[in-house]
Amino acid sequence: MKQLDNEKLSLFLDNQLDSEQSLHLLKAINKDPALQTKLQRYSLISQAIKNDASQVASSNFVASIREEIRNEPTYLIPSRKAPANWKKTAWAAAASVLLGVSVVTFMTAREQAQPFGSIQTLAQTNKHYRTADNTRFNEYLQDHDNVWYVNNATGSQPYARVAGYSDR
Amino acid sequence: MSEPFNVSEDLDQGLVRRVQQGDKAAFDLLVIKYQHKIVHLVNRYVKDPSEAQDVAQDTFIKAYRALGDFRGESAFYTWLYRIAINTAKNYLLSRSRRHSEYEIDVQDAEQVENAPQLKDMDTPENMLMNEQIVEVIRSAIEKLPEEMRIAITLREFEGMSYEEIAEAMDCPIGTVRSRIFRAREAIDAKLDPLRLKRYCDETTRQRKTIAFSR
Repeated sequence: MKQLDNEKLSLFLDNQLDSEQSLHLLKAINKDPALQTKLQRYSLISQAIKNDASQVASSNFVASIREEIRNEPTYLIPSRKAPANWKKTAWAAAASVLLGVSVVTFMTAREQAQPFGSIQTLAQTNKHYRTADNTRFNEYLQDHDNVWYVNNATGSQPYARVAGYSDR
Repeated sequence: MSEPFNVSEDLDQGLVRRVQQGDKAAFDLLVIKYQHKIVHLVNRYVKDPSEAQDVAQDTFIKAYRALGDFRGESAFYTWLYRIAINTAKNYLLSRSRRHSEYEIDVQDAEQVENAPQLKDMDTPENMLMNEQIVEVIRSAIEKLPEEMRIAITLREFEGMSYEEIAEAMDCPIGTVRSRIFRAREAIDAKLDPLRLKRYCDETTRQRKTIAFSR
């Protein structure tokens, strides 16, 4: 068992364990002084190989920090959902809105189309309305052809007279 | 060389989140994981072993206090590394001010990377102890069987990943794991346990109260 733990410790130092294995090992180190010493010695060996100088944490390092932060306030920050979930939610919401808009547009178009029966009928009706509008508009232009509005007084001042008034 | 995959980042994020949600014990696991790296890092600036221990502890306490603002934009270790460097430099500045040898604005600490006054002098005892440990370890490596010596050397000196070592040595990755582990065990066996224990205890016994603000 110890041999296995030590082997895992070696892998842990080289970042070869996955998160779950690392967490399990860290918890074991936290409870087992022998594993703490082994980690200390492996770290020392690793540093001494890489450099000419080596210095590792003392045996009571973790306990000292634990004692120091005992009186520190405890964090109670609400948990945040992972960014990936937010993205999924955003995409789902966008898709729902898009679908809703599509359905409403389709229904509206269908309701507008129904009173006229077909596209051909609709075109004829529009033509009829257009002709009637044009006639009324032409009549309006003819009625007001020589009239200029001055001070909201309508129908009495042709444009030429207004110009003449201005000269005076 | 880069690691084959970064498994520790997810673990760190998970532990940080647990601390932020009120689990102080999760911070112990982060300390266990990074204590030796941080002490080693601080020791590059603060050479006295007991002072290096104190500054490293202060680094973790500062990190705990600031953890509420940590949003994971950088990896936890990168963030912790910066705190350690700044804490070490501020400690040296603070100590130098007490000695009234020179004055440097504390805010300049981060910019003054290689200022000679921000490098501590190693103590003779510590230098001797280090030399002895390094000598024993190098001698132990030389006596290792060839395949173990190559595996540990490629890993520690060259920083190669297990996959790269397996390719270089033309063997399965499981064999690499086993060789590196057995090499570490063999080196560890050569180190006098009493000497190592004394070395580690020494740093604890010499602990002093460091007089810079926390």
